[in-house]
Amino acid sequence: MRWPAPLQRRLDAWVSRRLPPGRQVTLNQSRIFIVPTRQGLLMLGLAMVVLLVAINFESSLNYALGFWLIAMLWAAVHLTYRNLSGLVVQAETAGLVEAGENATYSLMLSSPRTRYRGPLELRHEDWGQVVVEMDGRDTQITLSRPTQRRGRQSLPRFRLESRYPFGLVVAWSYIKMDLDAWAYPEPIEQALQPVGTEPEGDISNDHFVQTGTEDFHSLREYQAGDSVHRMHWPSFSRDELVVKHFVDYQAADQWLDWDALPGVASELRLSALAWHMLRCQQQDRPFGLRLPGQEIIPDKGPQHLERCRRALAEYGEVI
Amino acid sequence: MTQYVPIMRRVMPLSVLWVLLLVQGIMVLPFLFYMPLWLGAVFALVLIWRWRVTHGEMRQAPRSLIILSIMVGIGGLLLSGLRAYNLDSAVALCVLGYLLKSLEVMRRRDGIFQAYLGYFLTGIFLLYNYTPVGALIAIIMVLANTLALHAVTADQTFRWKRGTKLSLALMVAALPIMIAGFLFFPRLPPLWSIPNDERGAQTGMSDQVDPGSIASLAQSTAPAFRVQFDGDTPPRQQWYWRGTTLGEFDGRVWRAQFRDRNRFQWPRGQLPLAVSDADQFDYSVVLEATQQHWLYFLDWPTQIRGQDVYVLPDGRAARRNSLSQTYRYEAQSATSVNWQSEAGLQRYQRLPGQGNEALRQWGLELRQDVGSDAQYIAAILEHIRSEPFRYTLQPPLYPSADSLSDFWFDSRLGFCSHYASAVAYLARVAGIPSRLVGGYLGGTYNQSGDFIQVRQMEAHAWVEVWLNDRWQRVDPTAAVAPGRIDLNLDDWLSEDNPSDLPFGVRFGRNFGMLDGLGFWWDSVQYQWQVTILNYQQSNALGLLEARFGRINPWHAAAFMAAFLAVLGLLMAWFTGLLYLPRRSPEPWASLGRVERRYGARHPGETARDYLARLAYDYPGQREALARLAQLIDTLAYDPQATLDASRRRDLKQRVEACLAQ
Repeated sequence: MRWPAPLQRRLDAWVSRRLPPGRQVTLNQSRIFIVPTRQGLLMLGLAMVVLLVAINFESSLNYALGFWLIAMLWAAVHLTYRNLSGLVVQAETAGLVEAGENATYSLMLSSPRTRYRGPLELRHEDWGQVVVEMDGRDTQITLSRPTQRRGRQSLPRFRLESRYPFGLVVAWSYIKMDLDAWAYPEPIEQALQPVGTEPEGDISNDHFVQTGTEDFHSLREYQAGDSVHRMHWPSFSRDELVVKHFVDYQAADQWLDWDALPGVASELRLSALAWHMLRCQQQDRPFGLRLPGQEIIPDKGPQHLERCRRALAEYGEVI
Repeated sequence: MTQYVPIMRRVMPLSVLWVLLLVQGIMVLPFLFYMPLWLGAVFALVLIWRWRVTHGEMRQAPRSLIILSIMVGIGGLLLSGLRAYNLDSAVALCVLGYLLKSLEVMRRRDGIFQAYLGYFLTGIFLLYNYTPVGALIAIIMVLANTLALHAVTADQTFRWKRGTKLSLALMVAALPIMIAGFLFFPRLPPLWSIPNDERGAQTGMSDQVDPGSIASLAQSTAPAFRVQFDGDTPPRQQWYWRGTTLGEFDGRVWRAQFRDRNRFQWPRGQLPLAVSDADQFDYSVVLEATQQHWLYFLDWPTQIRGQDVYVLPDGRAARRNSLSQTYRYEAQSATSVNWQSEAGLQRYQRLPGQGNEALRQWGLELRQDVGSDAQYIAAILEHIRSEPFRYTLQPPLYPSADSLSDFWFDSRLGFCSHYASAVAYLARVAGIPSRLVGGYLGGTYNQSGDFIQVRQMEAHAWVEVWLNDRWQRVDPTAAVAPGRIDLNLDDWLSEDNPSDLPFGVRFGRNFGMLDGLGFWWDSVQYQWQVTILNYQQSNALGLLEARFGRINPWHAAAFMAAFLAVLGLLMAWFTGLLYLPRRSPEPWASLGRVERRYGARHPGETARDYLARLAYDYPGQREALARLAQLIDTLAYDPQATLDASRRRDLKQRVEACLAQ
């Protein structure tokens, strides 16, 4: 139900004051709301009709039936309330997705007292309704909602409701979990410009030398801890302690640098960096990421990619 | 990404459709006893369609099927003679609608509608059948509809066992409030009168008697009413229960002056009843629904207490609304009353101008032979006694205009109404005011319930003649079949003429045990009628007020609040919302006592570590704590160690040693 805007705002404010977010929320009497549904009110109306029949036809048994229906409405309140009472909602994980894709959030429902709680409905306009049957054991729920933009994707306050077992009353709570998914920028192609601070010759054309074991590279002075096997014995005869220095040849790493995109709007810069990351990943080349105030040293692999994407997603957000 | 579907518009799964279909069957079955059988045909049509739906053809019924069903339904209605606008036809239409509705039950909204209509039909069913058995059937109906409601809500997660359990739980949990409402809700008078409140056929004495009408009643063993005397019970021979007084004769049929047809011309205001001048009897009557108006009394009523009762001038009382429910009233009768206020006797002397000439002549001649009116009546009875008249349940029809003459002179076979009719006619021939009285004679005393049960079979008609300034009862049946006065019809017949008995009665009589069971069941039904069906709110209120003094609205509100609070707590406990803290088992309970004194254990700290820490912090208790730690270890981890009485004592001592300063 939608209220007029000013009222809705005040209602929302009241709800968020009353039901603060957390990593773990236990539903108790201060968090559960419960009212008869329209169907329940109809039942009440039906009971009135039966009572009317009882009065007009002077039918004693219809008095009993009418009151039975009313009393059933009363009893249903307890049966529905217990579906939510004591339920623990726990934030688990949330994903990292490209902006525009669906972010997923995973929650855990558990309860200290095992009891069948019937189908619970998690409702939000972003995902419609998600129904889970809770039969006492811990139950995992995955929610998914579209992302519109880069950055933090908080799980919005959603409605957890139960009408089980008779639909006569509805018990619900508005749940705000402290759970964020992240969206990294959508990759957009944009050429990087060389960054001026670094001398050009310093970067090997297409290779990068890193201390390794594969190929002989040069001699260097002995340092404590160097292996004896790598001693350069001919030099030793000249009273020089020199060791052989080996290197591994690798693809040249690339620094994806915020500053390599001068004059580009910051969101677009992030998109461009994301595009280059994706390309490096596809070409199996290591890359490093340099953002203002943050640097991720060159590496490769899916974990590295995710780390860098996460950095892009978190850029500018208050962590 | 699923779109939010409003709950009422969600399509129900097959399993739920099955439940709804079954519930519908349960609902319709009991109605088939009261409704025309063609409803069964409509149900079959619906069933075939639903069968297809549950086998995968999930779509609305085609228009042609709906039209066909409606036509079968309405046609059936018309063919069954339910043309008139009355309750029967309204209910038949309602059931028809209930059946047809299910052709399109697909979404939750429809399922809920079906369940709610089912509840309503349960109420309607209780208008027709309000016996204990009917109440049981109604409970099953309520259960079925509650189950349907649950199935609709549970949707995919529906399971039979859990659903039944929950439905029963809901019904049982609702019982206390239901009972309280039933007991304390005031019974209001009808808000408006129901125009044609006819449920099923009329039974009992009607307001007109033709020669054959009573014999058909005599075939039925159904109870007519039950009477409980408060104080003395009159002797068996005086159990004449008068109902209708028939004073108008047209040559064949006797009619009452105030009938169903002219019930809006009944005298207004309370007419006085005759005044008693002899011993009186107080009693209460629980009358079965007759769909008629007449109340029954012992001869002759002097006082009547009941809702909505009209006293009619010819020594009877009636309700203007037909008796469509069991009805209870209290009355007082006297064996002899003072008829001083009786007026308009010429009404009881009128005869039709023609017909039964032979009998008229015979009567006039007889009157000339005897000295007085009283002797004339006695002579008529003597004639019946001496001539070969026979009392039978299967008299000939006497179709001619001279039916009384035919009976009196030719076949001489008749039932009570024939004899009464002839005698009343003969009395009028001689100018003696006379009238027929329709009612019952006899009854069966039920020991376990202390009441007298009168069955339709006891239906009887007799004559009242005005002699010596009073109405006097003349029962010609006593002349032809003296045994009938002392015995009920079936007892008398089984001695005299068993083949006349209806089959069902003959069958039942051969089993003594069944007879005992019958008595028991009659008494159950009587209690049911008195305590449940004719329950008045004042009963419980009176009981409470006798105990706690006058009850004002504040008391009532406080009482209700307390009642609901206690009930709510109980309910919370049963549903597991509220639970009592459990005692932890030994040795943890003892450790708990120590913890309460010295502070709780750290998370993950074992009992041994904890006690060691305490020993370090409280050097004075070191020894006692060590002894306790040793015992707790043993009890907790040694599988051989059992907690017998001596160990328990030991444990307690060691704990107390630790707690002592």
